[in-house]
Amino acid sequence: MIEKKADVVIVGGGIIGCSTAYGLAKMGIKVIVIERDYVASQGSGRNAGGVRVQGRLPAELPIAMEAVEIWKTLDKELGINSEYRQTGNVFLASSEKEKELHEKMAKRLQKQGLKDVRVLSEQEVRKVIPALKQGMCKGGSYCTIDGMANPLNTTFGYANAAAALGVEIIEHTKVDSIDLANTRVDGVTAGDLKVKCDTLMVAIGSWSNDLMEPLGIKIPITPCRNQIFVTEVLPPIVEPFLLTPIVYCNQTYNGNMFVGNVDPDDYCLGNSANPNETKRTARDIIRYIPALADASIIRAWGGPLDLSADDMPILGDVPGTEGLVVACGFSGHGFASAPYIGKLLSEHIGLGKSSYSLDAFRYKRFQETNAKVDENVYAYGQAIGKNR
Amino acid sequence: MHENNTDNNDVIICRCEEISKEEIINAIRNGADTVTLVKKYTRAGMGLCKGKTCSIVIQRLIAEYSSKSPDQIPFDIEREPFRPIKISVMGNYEDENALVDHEICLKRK
Repeated sequence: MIEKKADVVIVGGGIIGCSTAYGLAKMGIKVIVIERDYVASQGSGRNAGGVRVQGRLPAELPIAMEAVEIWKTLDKELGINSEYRQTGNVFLASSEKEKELHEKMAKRLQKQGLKDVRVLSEQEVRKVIPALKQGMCKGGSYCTIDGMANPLNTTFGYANAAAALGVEIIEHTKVDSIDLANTRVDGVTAGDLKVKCDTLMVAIGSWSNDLMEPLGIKIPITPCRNQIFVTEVLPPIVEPFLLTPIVYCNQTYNGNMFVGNVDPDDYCLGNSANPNETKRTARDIIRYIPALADASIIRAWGGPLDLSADDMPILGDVPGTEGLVVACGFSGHGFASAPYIGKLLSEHIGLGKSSYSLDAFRYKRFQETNAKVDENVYAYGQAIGKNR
Repeated sequence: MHENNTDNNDVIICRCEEISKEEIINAIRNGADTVTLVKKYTRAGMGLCKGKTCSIVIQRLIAEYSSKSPDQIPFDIEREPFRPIKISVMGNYEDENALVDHEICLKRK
């Protein structure tokens, strides 16, 4: 039996775990991160890297906007090349009705302070994306401060920066159980490793309930498959991150094109792509961008998104178990906001108070009310769920 | 690869992504202990040949630096398609079962 001790233990070496560890280490707090596989082995290393602000729910918008400010100087802060670029994000409307919903959404976002979003006509969309086939949309919502980054470089960057500040990152180690002393967190057990801590943060996405259920905690999240195929390096074809109701694509810094889709009905915990869905997205992306027909697909992969019952993450304390903090249910919005969410969680744990209130994301909301997707607030997650 | 001939660290190991031996050794020194991790750190093996030429060399380099035998170093996961295929070919739905599944998928929604 190996015994260790830390102020804070974080389970999960994804971008949330690593950015929170980095924030805590900057405060001089001793952190141990325990990762089942290796850093960025799951969602943080296999998402498309979109840094999107538009289409956010009201409570999430200020976080996504502040995250953009952090993204702008992140490379300098971490000493990395995150390949972050503000390419813009275009969300197509396939009908006049959808365009009206986009307009309503844009007004809501503008009212909340996002000045960089506007709804374009089809002609205007095709000026931003000349490769888009005519007649494929009735217009679209365009946000100019949105962009993309390289998820692997960014997550490794946070892990390395945290390690340089003294955070111990233990990989290839699966946490078996949370140890309690009465109703208080005492530490975790992972095989023959025991780590004692004052605060424990669980940031393992779709696997969160595996660890929490033995404590009687059940977080309403459902894993669903997000899958992507990547092409060979291509000349610039599509500059912004392009979202359509049935497929998305974005061209990376290196020129590879990511083409993917989220299927809210495809319950999945694996890392492979569904071949039928690869075929379907291949067919559909050419309908939008005919210039991609001759591009070669190199690989396809998948990974689970942790969709929460109300499409919002669960962040903060878990009442009934002192010292337990949870961060999951990002519903596919995690990567973009991670730089600020990591900061907020580290403030919450280290200072007992965060610079933006996490109250809207509290776990208790599911007990207090039957929190679910608000049909009256049109947002991106809801739109893809409806259209598929 | 003959170890004797590769003292030059500028030599390109992954030709598709133009990754040198030096970059791969740096990744290994920074903790990349599998072919998959070297790929994720450096892009070696992410190109059109899907690592067909460089994987074995990377496997040997990891083994060399970790004092293991190459067969103890796992290869990268093979992702579909097993060789590059044009999007138009992938998307033409010659597989009828795929089409049927997709229609079921759409109906369900």
